[in-house]
Amino acid sequence: MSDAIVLRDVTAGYGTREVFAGLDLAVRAGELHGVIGPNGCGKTTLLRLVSGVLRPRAGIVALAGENVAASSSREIARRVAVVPQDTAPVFAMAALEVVLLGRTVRHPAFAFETDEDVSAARSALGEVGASHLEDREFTTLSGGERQRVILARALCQGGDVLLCDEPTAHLDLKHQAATFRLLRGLAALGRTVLVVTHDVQLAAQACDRLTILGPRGVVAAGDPGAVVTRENLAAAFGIETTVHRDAAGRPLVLRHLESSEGNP
Amino acid sequence: MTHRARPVTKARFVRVTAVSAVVFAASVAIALALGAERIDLAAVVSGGATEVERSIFHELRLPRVAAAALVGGALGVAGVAFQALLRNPLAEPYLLGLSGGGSFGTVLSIVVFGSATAGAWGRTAAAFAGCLLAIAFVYAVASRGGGLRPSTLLLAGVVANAFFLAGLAGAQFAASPTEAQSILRWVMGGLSAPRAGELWVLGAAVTGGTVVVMATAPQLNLLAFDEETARHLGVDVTRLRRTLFLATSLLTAACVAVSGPIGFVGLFVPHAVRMLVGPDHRVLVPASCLCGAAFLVLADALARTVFAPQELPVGIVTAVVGAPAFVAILARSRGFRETAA
Amino acid sequence: MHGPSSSISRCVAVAVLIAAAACGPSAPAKTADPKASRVVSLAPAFTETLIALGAADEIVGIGRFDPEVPGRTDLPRLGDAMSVNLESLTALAPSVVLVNSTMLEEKLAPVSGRLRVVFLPTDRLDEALYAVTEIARLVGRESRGEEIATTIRSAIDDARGRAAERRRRGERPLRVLVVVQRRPLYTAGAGSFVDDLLRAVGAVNVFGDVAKPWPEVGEESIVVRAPDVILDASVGDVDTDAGRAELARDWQRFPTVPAVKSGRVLVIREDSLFRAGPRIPEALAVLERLLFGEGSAPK
Repeated sequence: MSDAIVLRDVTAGYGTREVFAGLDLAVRAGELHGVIGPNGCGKTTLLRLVSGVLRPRAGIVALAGENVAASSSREIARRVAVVPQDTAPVFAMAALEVVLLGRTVRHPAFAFETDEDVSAARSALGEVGASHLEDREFTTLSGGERQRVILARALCQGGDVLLCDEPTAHLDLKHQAATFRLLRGLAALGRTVLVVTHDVQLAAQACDRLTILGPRGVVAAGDPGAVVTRENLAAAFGIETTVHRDAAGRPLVLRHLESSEGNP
Repeated sequence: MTHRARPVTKARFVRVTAVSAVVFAASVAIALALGAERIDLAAVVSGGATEVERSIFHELRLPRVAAAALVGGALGVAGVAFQALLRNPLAEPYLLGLSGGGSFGTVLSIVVFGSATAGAWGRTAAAFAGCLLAIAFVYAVASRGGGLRPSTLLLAGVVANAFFLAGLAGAQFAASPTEAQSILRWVMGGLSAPRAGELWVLGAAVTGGTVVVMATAPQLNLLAFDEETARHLGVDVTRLRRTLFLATSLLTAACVAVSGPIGFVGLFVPHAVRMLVGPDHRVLVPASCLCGAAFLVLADALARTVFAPQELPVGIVTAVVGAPAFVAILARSRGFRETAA
Repeated sequence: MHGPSSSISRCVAVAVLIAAAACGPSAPAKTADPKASRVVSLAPAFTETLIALGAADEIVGIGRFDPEVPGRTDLPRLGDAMSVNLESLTALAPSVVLVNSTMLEEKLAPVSGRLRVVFLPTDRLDEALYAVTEIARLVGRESRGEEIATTIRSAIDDARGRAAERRRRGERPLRVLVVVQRRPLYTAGAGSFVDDLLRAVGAVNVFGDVAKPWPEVGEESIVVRAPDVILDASVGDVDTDAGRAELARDWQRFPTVPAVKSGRVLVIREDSLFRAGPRIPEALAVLERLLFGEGSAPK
C-alpha cells in the first residue's frame, strides 16, 4: 500500500524552541492512523507540518509523494482538511455557514456559493449526522455538535486527507465513541485519516495503525497490538502501566496511579 | 438559538446590495431635499430654479452629500475590515486610534508645509502614514505573545488614541495662531462642501480601498472565524493582514484628510448591518459601504438643518444616534462574544 | 466621548482664535483698592490698553498672543485664553490680574483668594469701553483713561453719523459676512464685538440674527443671505500662492453671492477688528475703508 503522508528526518520548532528533530512518520492511504503521546511532544506541530501551515526547518514532508513545501497553501487546502481542537467564530454564524467555509478552497479567490456548494455542505452535515443542526448558531452548540460541524466543514473541502487534533478532548464516552466510529467510516470510504490524541486506550481500540510519540521523537510505530506495550508507554508518557489484551488481541491499558507520580 | 443559515449565492448578493442601494438612494434624496435653506428641488432638476437655488444645489449641497456618502461608506468598510482583521467586534478606526493617527499625520503635514501647499493628495498621504503607524502599533501591542487578546487590543487602542491626541494638542500648542486655525478641522472632525480636487482624491481612495476589501471578502470570512482555520483553508494570513493594514489605513486616511476624525460610523454601521444580513463579508462589505454612506448622509443632513443657519458638528449627531442604537443592538445580540482569542 | 469633548475643544479653539471669547454674564470688577503697581494682563486688548494708558512699566506679565510691550521684550508670557501658568503668575506677585475670558477666570480660581483677579468682558463695544475706564482706574490713570474712552466714543459717534448720512443719501446698507474660519465655517453672530462694529458703521451683519457670538453656520445660508462683501479673517496660509489659490477656489463655490460676483471677498489681516481696546477707532476706520472705499473715513 502506498504512503499518503510521509515525514522524513523532519526538524521543526517555533522561534528558539525546537519541538522535535529527525522525526520519521508514514501514514498509509486509506487508513485511520493515530499518533499518541504526552502533552507537549509535538502532536499539533506534526499536523501543522502536514497541512503546510508550518514549514519544517529540515527534512521533507510529502503528500502522496509530493513535497508539501512545493505546493501553495491553497493547493494543500484542496487535498488536506484539518479539524482543529478548539475553534469558534467571533461573529454569530449558523452551522451550515460554517460548513460552507470549507467550500472556499474549491473556488477561485472570490466567488459566490452555488446550489452545488449548498447541497455539498448539506450532504457533509448529513454524513456526520448533523443535518438537524443546519440552522443552529455555532457558538450555542455543545462540544460534540461543534466537532461534527467542523468535521463536516473538513469533508466539504473534498480532499483525501483528514487531520484531526484531539477530536475527543471535550467529549463524554458516548460522543468519543461516536466520533471514532465516524472517523473509521471515513477511512473505510477511502480517506486517509490522521488523528493525534493522548487517549491511548481509544486510539489503540479504533486506529488501524499507531505511532507513539515521546518527548524525544518516535518511540514505536505499527499495529496497535504490537506497539502498545508497557515499555513503549513508559518511554513516551513516563508512567507505569499494565497492558492486557482483549479477546481480539487489542491492548487494554491500565494506569498505575501510585507509581505515575514522581516517575519522570 | 436558531439563526437560519444564509448561504451567499449570487442572487442573495444582488438582493442585499440592491436593497442597500435603495436605502442609500433614499438617504441621498432626503439629504438633497433638506438643507439650511429651502430650495425647490423639482425646479432644480427641471432647470426652472433660480440662480441662487442652482448654486446652492450644485456648488454646495451636492458636493457635500457626495463627501458625506464617500466618507460614510469608507468608514463602514474600514470598520468591517478592521473588525475582521483584529477579530473583535469592538474594533473601530476611531476608537482604536487609527483616525487619531491620520489626524496627527495631516496636522503635521499642515504645520510643516502649510495647508494649501500640502494639498488634498499631500494631506491624504500624510494621513495614510499616520494611520499605518497607528495600526502597526495597535496590532503589534495587541498580538504580543500570540493571539489577539481583546483587552490588550482595546488598551493598545486607548494608548494610541491618547498618544495622538497629545500629539495633536502639542501641534496646536506649537503652531502659530494662523496654523492653529487650519488644524481645527482635524482636532474636531466635521464635514463641509469639499473642493473639487478633494472629492476626486477621496473618491479614488475610497473606491480603491473598498474594492480591495471586497476582493478579500471570502478570506475575511475565514480570518474572522479563526486564524488557524484561515491558514488551514489556504489563506496566506500574513499577506492578507498586510493587505488589510493598507486598505483600512487608506480608507481611514482618505476620510480623515477631508473630514477629520468622525466617530461611531465604523462601529455602529457594521454591527447594524451584520444583524440584518449576517456575518458573511461578501454581503457585509457592500451593505456596510452603502449603509455607512446612507447613515452619514442622513446624520449630516440633520447636522445641517436642525439648528439652521447654525451647524452642528456631525460627530455629535453620529454619536447621539449611534450610541443608543449600538447599546440596543448589543443588548439584543447574543452572538456578541468578547473573547476573540 | 466625542460629543462634549469636541464641542469643548471647539469653544476652546475659537477662544484662542479670537483671543478674547468671554461667554458669561459680566461680573463687576472687585472694588476700590490701592492703585495697582504690578499688573498681569492676560488679554491682548488689555495689554494694548495698558500701553495706551502709559502704564507699560507697571506690567509684569502678559499673554502668549499679546502684542510686544515697547521696551519690555523680556516680559514673561504666562498663558493664553485657555490656560495660564499659575506658579509663574504667583511668583510675579502681581497686584492685579486682568482677564477677559470666563474660562481663564475659572483657571485662576486657585489663586483668586490671594491675588486680585479682575474679569472684564469685552464681547460688546460698551463692555470694551467700560474695560478701558476700569483698567485706567485700577492703575490710577483715570484722566488718561477718560481721554481714550472719549476718543473711542467720538470715533463710534462719527462712524454712526457717517452711516446715517449714507442712509439719508439713500444708500442701501451693505450686507457683510465676516468669516472667522472657513472650515468649519465660523462667523460673528449677535453679541459679538465684530457685530457691534458692523452696526456702528451702518453695515448689516448677515448672521446678525444668530444669537451666539461665534456660531458655526452652514455654507448654504451664505448663498441665501447673499452678502455684498465678505471679510475673510480666517488666516490659513494666505501667504503662499497655493494658499491664495485655495482661498479663491473656496469662494468660487458661491458664484451667485454678490460679494463673489463683484470680487469683494477681502482678506482681513488687521487684528484690530478683534481687539476690543484703544484701537477701536482704528478698527472702525479699517472697516469703513474696506466697505465704503478710501476717503470715506477720516484718518
